[in-house]
Amino acid sequence: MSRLIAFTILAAMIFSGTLFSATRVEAHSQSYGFLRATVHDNHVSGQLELAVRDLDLAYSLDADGDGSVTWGELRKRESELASLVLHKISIGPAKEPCDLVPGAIAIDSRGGENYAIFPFTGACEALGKQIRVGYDLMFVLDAQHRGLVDISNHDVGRSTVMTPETRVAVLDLESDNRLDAIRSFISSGAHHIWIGYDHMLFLITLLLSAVVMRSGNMWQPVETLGGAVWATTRIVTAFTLAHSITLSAAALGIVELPSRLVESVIATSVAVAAINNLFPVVSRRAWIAAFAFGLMHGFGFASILTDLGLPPARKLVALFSFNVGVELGQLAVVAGLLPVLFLIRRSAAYTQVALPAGSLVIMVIGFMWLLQRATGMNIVPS
Amino acid sequence: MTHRIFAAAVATLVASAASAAPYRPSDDATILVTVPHAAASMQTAFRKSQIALAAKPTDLTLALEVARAAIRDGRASADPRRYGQAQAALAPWWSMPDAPMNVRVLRAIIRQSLHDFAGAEADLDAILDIDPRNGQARLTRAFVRQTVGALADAKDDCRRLPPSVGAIASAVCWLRVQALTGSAGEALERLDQVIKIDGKADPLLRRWAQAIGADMAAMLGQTEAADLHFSEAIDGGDIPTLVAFADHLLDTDRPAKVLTLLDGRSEADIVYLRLAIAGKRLNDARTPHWIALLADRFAAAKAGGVQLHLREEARFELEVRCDAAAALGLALANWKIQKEPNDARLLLQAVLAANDPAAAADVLSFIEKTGLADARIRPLQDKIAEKHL
Repeated sequence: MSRLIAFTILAAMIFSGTLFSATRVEAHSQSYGFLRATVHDNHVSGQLELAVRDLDLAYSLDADGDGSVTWGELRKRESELASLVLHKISIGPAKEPCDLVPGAIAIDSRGGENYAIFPFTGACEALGKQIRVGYDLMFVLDAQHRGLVDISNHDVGRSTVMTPETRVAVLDLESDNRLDAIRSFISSGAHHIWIGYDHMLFLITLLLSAVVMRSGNMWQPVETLGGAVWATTRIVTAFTLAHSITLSAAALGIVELPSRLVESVIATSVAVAAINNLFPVVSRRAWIAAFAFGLMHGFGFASILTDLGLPPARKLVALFSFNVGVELGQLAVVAGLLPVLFLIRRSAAYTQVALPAGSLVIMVIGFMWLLQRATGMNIVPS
Repeated sequence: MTHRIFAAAVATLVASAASAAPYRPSDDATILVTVPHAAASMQTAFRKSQIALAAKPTDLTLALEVARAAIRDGRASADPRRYGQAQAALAPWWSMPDAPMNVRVLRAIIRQSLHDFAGAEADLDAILDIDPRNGQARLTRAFVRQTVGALADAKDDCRRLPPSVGAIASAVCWLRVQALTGSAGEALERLDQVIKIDGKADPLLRRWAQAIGADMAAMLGQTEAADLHFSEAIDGGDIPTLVAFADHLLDTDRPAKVLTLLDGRSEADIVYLRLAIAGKRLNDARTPHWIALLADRFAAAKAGGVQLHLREEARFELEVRCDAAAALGLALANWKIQKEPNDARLLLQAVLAANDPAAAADVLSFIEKTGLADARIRPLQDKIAEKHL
């Protein structure tokens, strides 16, 4: 039972008089306005978006009172409305904000609702890096209205939310904050290799056989540490290169793949890498497998990045930082694991027990992930 | 970090307009927004009061009139904007700790609509301290308490309702608590009697009682009885009741009926969610449109820092996007705020989907403590119990 119903009746209890039994009222979501602007030294351009329904509430657009707001009713008052709403926002110093000049309004749909778009340009005194923004639309009529503001210059973007309590904000476009953004994306990249068990397991599986070489039907230990490092470097670099390519392609919206497919292939890659340790097909060329499957792992990382949201003004920087973070995470795994593997590589316990048994377990996990992801069932935590 | 992610989300959202396609309609007759014909005259009257209030914002009588009209419509149409408008009308009194009593009643209602249940209860407490026989305040508090799972306190309020609220409202209040504490069968039987006896009651009250009865029947797993109750309950066409019926249809595997019931009926978030769920089950061609629209709205809510949609969003992640981890996070956050059977059930579903039985500890102990017995929840409890073995 919806709480809404439980409360519906209270309306009748509390208010006498006609009940409003609306069967169709448009657009039932919270009220939002969107203000986006790009500033240069003494120039600003951008647009303000307001729901037509909110404009109607504030400025009574329905001229003929027939219950519908038409494009004609809006268009006829275009310049008046543009000037009214642009007077409610300001960009630039309080004393002398930029003089905003409206452009032609247009219509767009957001969340199934029609929005009027008011483009503007403006000339100002030199703006500097501290941009003051004023936003005072709708609050008098709707205390839950929110103004979502995004201001950027050529390299930094800042966002904030305007409320009835906060109608003015100063956004700091100083680019040193860029370092924070870089740091935060690096750390989320590293964090995600760390908690992304499937990526980690794939890498570990490849590393398991990097300290040994197949010769005849036997695993032979790699002679020198240099050899092991070289084998590992090739694998890790190939993996990195591959997933960087697809991560970038996906994050920039160039390629999109269904997540079930991506996740299933990643699970397959874990199982295949493990099988390759049990019945080696590629030994010296493990890097090729690392590259091929790395392409799919990149799509997997991309979904995380999509969830985080790439700041539009710093897309490439964020993307690069995230990649760096993933690399650092990987290197930490390698640095921890490789010396251990190298030390135990000669023991029979490693080549005859740990390597095959470990790979077998990994293979089973890989297949279970595959089953789970392909069918949507829950078998093991992933 | 959270702050940064949040800021990035706002930025992405605000800027996403860049990728959309703004246009200038070629025809002046293109309709951008419609107010239903039936509602148009109400709308005009409401607008007149609103304009009058704008000229004299401290006129309490006028402000109460506007706020009441907005809430009334917000209820019937499940339109969150209306509550914001009601709040705006009450702005001069909104932050006053000792606001006039009639402002406080409305403030409590608006606060509960914003899921500020503690704030709502504080207002109602203050009213009842002064006027213990205020039926509206006590009934409202009883339901706020039911929502947050304070069932003993809710029962206390139901017991102390003055006769002025009427026999049906009293009975519904009391019997719903009874149903929430494991005696839905008995409660439904008595509710049916009360509805039958009080044949002349306000039709709105009757429909409400029928909707509550429908839920009790569904709780007992009695599909046909629930259908029967809903058939009268949905007569008024108010959106929350239609949505509750749609949920019942989804539970009993009748998604096609949901599309007939709801398509084109309303633009409310809660309606689109049911359309998306039903559409997905039926592979309906409109489903991607509904999904995109909901995703847009949830993204805007997130960027605006609005937390009203946790329940809806959790269901969206669980049933539409099939992202169990996201659904579990949202369902847990929702459970902290609301504790109705729907919330318990959603959380258990998310727990099972995410295969994280430990996350069910709190809700399971709540169910045990209150004695809640719900045919829709029981199988979920059993499944989780199996996992613990």
